[in-house]
Amino acid sequence: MNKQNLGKIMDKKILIIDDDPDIVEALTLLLESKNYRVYSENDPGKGFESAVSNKPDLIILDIMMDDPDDGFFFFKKLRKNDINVPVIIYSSVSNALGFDFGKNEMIGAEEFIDKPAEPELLLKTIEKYLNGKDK
Amino acid sequence: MINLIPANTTDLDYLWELVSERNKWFIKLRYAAVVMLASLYVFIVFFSGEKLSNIQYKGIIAIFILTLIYNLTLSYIFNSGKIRNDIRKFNPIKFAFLQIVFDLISLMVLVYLTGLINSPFYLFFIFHAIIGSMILPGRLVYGIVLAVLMIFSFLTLSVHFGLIDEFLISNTGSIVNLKTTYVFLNLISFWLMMLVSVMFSNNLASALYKRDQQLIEAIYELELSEKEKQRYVLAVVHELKSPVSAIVSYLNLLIGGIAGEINDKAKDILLKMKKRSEESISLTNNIIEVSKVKLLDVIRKEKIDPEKLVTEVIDKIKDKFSGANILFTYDDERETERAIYADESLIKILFSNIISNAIKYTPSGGKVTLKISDSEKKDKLLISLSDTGIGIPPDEISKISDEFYRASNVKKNKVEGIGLGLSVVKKIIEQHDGSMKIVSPNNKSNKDNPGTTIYIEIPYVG
Repeated sequence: MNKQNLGKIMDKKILIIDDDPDIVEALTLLLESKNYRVYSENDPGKGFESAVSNKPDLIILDIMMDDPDDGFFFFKKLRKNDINVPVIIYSSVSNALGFDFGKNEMIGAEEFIDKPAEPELLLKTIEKYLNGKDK
Repeated sequence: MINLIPANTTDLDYLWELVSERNKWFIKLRYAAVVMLASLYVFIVFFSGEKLSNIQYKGIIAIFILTLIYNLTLSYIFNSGKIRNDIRKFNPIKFAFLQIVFDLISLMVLVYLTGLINSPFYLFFIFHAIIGSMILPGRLVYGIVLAVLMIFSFLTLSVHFGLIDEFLISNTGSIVNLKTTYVFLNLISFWLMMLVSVMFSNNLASALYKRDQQLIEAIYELELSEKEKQRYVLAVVHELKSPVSAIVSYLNLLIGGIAGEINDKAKDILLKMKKRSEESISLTNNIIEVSKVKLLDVIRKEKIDPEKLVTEVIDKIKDKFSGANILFTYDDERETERAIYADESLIKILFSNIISNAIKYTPSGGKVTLKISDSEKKDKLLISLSDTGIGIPPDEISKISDEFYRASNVKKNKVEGIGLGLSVVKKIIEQHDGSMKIVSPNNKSNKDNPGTTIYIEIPYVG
């Protein structure tokens, strides 16, 4: 990886919204080790504020969070406000429930990843969406 | 207008279904009655030597024809879908009421033409009173029965006092010649018989109906609490999964060296921890799946092209085969392309379950074959999945779809097991009116890996 690319990655901002602080910490450590700038929130309400003020390049979102707002609600609110940043849903309910959250189905998030995922898969997916946006 | 609905009805749909069923039965019964009437007529005219008057001949034939016509009409209305399960519209209870009124009128005419209290047919009024009590609300039945009793008594007394003509079919004494007290005695006992019959059968019917309703309610509550329980299980399992997910996330950091370099021995231990944690996650996933399938009372079925569905499933799962170094082949041997009526996401769960199982129990270098074809009678889709895996002992095949059950040899071979998978499969097949058969071994020559074949049949549309 040459310096130019490294510089680009350092600019990339990722917002993590998950009510489990340990998941947030582990993810943050992983992403920071790859030089992403990471913001995180434990509830969707603050997450939305952060999405507006920090303008992340990508959001990693949990589904089942403490009521009343869950991840689906957050996602809808995001799109309703015309914030079209790619969203990766990182949740333990998707595949386990047998729901086929394909692209553009159900809620239309960019990607669903079953929690817990291999770090390689997470990073690969994140890169895919961050690079894709540049092109 | 009275709505004819019994007072203690809680489940209208159930009432409609019940009354409709009885309506159908009455129509059939009436055809039998018409045939009996015809044979009776033939018997009286040709064999008994009875002399009937002209009016009697014509009258009985008229009743015969009219009954046949209105029964055909009723049968037409019944099948036409004009009867609506709606209190305000023409519903099954109103239809039943109509039937009973028609029957009583033709019976009244028949009884009048055959001698009233001397008629062998007038006991059929009791039969109608009982039938009416089975369907109609009590007050209405009493009303009908009172009307019948009054008309019958009025006719009998009118004949007795010579006000209207009398018709007899045998040499029974004329009502005109009977003592008035005897006629009254006769009528009073008929009133008593009718009213007591209605009272008893009405009480019985409403008690039975109430019991039915209670039973339905109890079953409903039971189902509700079962669902509640499943929802609880779902929530608990999700809660169980969360901490393990966090553990695995941290382990990944350690193993990946992101939290600092670690030595090989420590890494080895961490990998083992990760493996065991993932086992726990996969187990909880399976519990969630079972709960989910049980929660899915409302399944959305639609016409589905099996070929397309299977291709999509294979697309998703094919990486797993190459990862496990298993050769996967797929054949479509159907003669024609026909659709199945199924819930797409459930059928996908079914496929991913049986295929994952096959991968899990088939050693590296083995083969898994998926085939779809027509069933023997060509009315069902036959799915067969064969593997060259460790097989299932014959005495355990019957037990295999029990929840949480794992064939004992799974443990022996140290493959992380899912007994839950097959119970999910079984449940899904049941929901699609299909059937499942497991054959193992499918290849006796290989002792270590005799293999297993699962056959699943799901009916085609139409």
